[in-house]
Amino acid sequence: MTRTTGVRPAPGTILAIVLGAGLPLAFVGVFFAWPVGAMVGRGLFADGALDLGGFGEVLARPRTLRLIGLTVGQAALASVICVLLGLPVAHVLYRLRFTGQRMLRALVVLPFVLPTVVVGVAFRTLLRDGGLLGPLGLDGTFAAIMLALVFFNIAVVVRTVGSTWEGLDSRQEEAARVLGASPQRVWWTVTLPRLAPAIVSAAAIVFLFCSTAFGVVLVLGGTRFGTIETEIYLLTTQFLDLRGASVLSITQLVVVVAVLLVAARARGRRTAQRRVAAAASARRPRLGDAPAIAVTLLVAAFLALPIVTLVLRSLRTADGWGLGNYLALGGTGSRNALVVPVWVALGNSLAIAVQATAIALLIGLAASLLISRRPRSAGLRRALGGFDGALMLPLGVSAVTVGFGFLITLNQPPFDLRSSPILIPIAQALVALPLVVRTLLPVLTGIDSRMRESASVLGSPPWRVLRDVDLSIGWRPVLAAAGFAFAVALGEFGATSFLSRPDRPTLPVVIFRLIGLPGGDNFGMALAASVVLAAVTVGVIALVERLRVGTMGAF
Amino acid sequence: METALQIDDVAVSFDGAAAVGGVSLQVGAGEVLGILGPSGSGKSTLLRAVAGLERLDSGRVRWHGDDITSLAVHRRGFALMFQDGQLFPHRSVAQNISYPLRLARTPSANRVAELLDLVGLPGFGDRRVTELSGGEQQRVALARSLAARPRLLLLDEPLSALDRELRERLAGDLRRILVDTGTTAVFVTHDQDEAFAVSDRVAVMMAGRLEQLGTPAEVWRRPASAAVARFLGYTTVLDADRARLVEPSATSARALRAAAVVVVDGGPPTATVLSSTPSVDGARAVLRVDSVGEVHAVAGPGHPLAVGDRVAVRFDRAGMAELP
Repeated sequence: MTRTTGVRPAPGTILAIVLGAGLPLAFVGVFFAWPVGAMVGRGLFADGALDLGGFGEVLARPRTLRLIGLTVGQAALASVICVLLGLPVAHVLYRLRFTGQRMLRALVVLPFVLPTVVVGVAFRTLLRDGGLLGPLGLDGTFAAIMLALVFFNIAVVVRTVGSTWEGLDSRQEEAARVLGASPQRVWWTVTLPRLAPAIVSAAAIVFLFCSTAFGVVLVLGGTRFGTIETEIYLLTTQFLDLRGASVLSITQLVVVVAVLLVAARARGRRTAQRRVAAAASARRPRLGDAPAIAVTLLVAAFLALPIVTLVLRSLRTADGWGLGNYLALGGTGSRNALVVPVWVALGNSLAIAVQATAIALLIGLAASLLISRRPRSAGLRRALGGFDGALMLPLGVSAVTVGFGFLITLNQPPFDLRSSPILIPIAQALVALPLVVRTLLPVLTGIDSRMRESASVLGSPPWRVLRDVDLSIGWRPVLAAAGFAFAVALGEFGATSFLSRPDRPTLPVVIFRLIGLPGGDNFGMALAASVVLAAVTVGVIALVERLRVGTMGAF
Repeated sequence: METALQIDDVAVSFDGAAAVGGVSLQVGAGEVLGILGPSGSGKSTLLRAVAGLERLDSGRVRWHGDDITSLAVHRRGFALMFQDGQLFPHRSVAQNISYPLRLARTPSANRVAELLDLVGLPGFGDRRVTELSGGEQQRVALARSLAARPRLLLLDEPLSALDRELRERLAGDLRRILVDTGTTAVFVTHDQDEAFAVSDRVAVMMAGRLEQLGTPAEVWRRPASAAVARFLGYTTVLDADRARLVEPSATSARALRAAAVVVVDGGPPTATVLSSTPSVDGARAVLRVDSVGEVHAVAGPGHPLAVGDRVAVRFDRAGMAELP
C-alpha cells in the first residue's frame, strides 16, 4: 500500500495565500467587519446583555417605517427608470458604430464618478429659484432626488448591459429573423433573455447605490426626505441614539446582502455565455434605431445639463460674470466658514486619494488574483465565491456606519488610529475596493489557467508567473482600476465627513460646509470648488477612458 | 534503453471522483511515448500529474531514479505544450520562444533563430503571435517548449485543434523534430493515427486505467481487450467460436475493421444487407452474415446495395486483430 502523498506546495505558495487571502481578509476584517460589528453591537447590547427590544421599538416608530418605505421605494423606482433609459443608450453606444461614440461613452460614465456633493450642488443650482429649471418648483421635492439618483446611476446600467451586449453573437438574432420572427419578437425572445442577467445585476447594483445614497440626499432632501443612511447619520450625530442607528444599520445590512446575492447569481449566469469580439457585432445606425438614438440624445442632454449649469453659475458673482468665486478659493469664506483655504483642502484631498488608491489597489489586486484562480475542489471554489461576495459588502453598507464605527473601535491599542491621518485613506479605500475588484476580476478570470501552467512548467517561479502572465496581460485594467479608485476616493463624502478633522478637511467636506453656511460668497465658492473637484475627476476619468477597459464601471 | 521517467502507481482524484487510478509506466531516455485514450480517460490528468500540476492521491514520479513527486513544477526542467499553444499574446514570436531561455538566464538570439528554422518558420521572430495561423502558433509553441532543452517534453493534444491535412503534416514534422533533437517526450492524444505516427510506444488509457502498453504495431495487431479494439476503430468483435467461421485458424476472439469484410461478386450469397451508406470509394454497409451475426463491411463502387439484398462476402485477414 502506497502511503498518501501530496505534492509539496511550491515555495512561494504559502506567501501567495497569505498575500492573496490573508491581506484582504485582515484589511476587511479590521477596517470593516470590526467597526461595523462594534457599531451594531452597541445598539444591541444594553448594560452588557443582549437586548433585542430595540428592534421592535425602533422599527415601530412611524418615522422609521416611513423612511424604510421611502428608501426602498425610491431605490426601486430609480432602478426601473435607469434600466428603461439605460437599455436604449446601451444599444446605441455599444451595438452601433458612429463617430463621437467614445465621447458619449465617456460622458455617460462621468456622473458615476462625480462626487455626490458636487452632484447635489449642481442639482440645487439647477432647480432652485432663479435656476434654469427653477420655474418647475422641484427644489426640495422627491422628484429632485429621483433626478439626481438617475443621473448618478444610469452609467451602471449602460456600462454593465453595454459590455455584455457588445459581446453577444448577433448571429442568434439573425437566425431568429430568418426563421420568421419579427424584430419585436426577436427582441423579446432572443435578445432580452440573453441580456437579462446583466440587467438584473445592474439593477441590483443601482438599487444598492440608491438605497445607501447619502451625500446627494442630504444636500437635496432637506428634512422632509431621507434614506435609512441619512437617518443613521441623524440618529448618531444629532440625537446620539446609537441603538436606533444600530437597528437601522442591521436592517440595511439585511437588505444589502439580499440584493448582493441577487446580483452575484446574475453575474454567475452571465459568465456562462460565449462572447465574440465587439467589432463583429457593431453596425452602422439604421432608421429603425431612431427612437433609441433620440432617447440617447435626451439622456446625454440630461447628463450634461447639471454640469453645464454648475460651471456657468460658478462664473457668476455679485458683480456679474467673472472669476471672483474662483479667486475666493484662496480664502476661508464669509464669516470664516472654513479653517483652511479651499486650495489647501484640494491638496489634502489629492494626497489622501493617492494613499487610498494605493491601499485599494494593493488589497484589490491581491484579492482579485486569488479569486480569479479556479481550484479543482468544489469546496474551495465555493469559499472563493463567498470571499468575492464579502468584498462587495462595503459597497452597500452605510459609509456612515463605517465612519462612526472607526471612531469607536480604532481608538484603543492595538489599533489606536483615531488621531492618525491614515484613517481617512483607509475608509476611502474600503469604498473603492469593490470597484477595483469588479474592474480587475473579469480580466484576470479571462486568462486561461493553462497559460500560467505553461509558464510554470517552462521554469517560471510563482512570482514570475504573476508578473509575466497576469500583470503583463492585465496592466491596463490595473491602471484603469487605479484611476477609478482615485476618482471615487476623491469624491468620497459619507465616511470622510465623520473622520476628517477641521484643520485637515477634504474638498467634498469643505463644499458641504460652504453650502451649509449660506451668505456672502459661500455658495459661489461652493460652486467654484465643485467645478474644481469635478474637473480633477473628469481629467482622471478621461485618462482612464483612453485605456479602453470595458470592465470599468460594469458590474 | 535507460529508464528516464518512472511513474509508480499514480492516482489522482477530483472531489473524490477518481480521474487516474493507479497507473504505472516507464519512459526510456530519448523515447516518445504516446498516451492514447478517449476523452475523460484521464490521459491529460496523468500528463499534468507528471508535470506537477496535479496533487497526487498516491504514487510516485521518478526521474532517472530521483523521486520528484514533491518537486515544485517550475524546478522540474520539463516543458508542456497545450492543444492551443497558450502563447503569451503580449509578446512577439521571438520573445515567446526566448522566454524559457531568459528564465534560465541564457538568452540567445542564435538559439531562437535555430529553433525557428527547426520548426519551419524562419524569419518569423518579429511577428505578433496573434497574427499567426493555428498551425504556425503550434509550431511556435513547440519551439518555445524545446528552447531550453527540457529534460522531458509533455504534449497535451498538440495537433487536435488543427484541420486534418495540417495535422497529418505536422505529426510527421513533430516526429522528425523529437527524434532529431533526441527529446524524451510524452504525448497525449485521442487520435490513434496521430499516436502511431509520432510515438515509439503507445499507452492506451480508459476510465483512468492503463489498458495496454506496447509499440504501435503490437497495439494495432493485438489489442488488449475488446474495448481497446473498439476505441482503435475495430467495428466488430467476434468471440473465438464465431471467429473460426471467419478465419479457420483462429483460437481466440477477433476484432474486425470494416475493411476486413468485403462485398464481392460471385460465390454463394451468405449475408443480408441491413443498411448501407455511400462513401468516397463505394459504400459502407452493415450486414448480417449467416451464423456469424452483424458485421460492418465495405463494398466497391460497382456494388449498388439495397436493404434486404443477399450478397457474397470475402474476409480479409489484414483488417483483423487478435484479441486475447
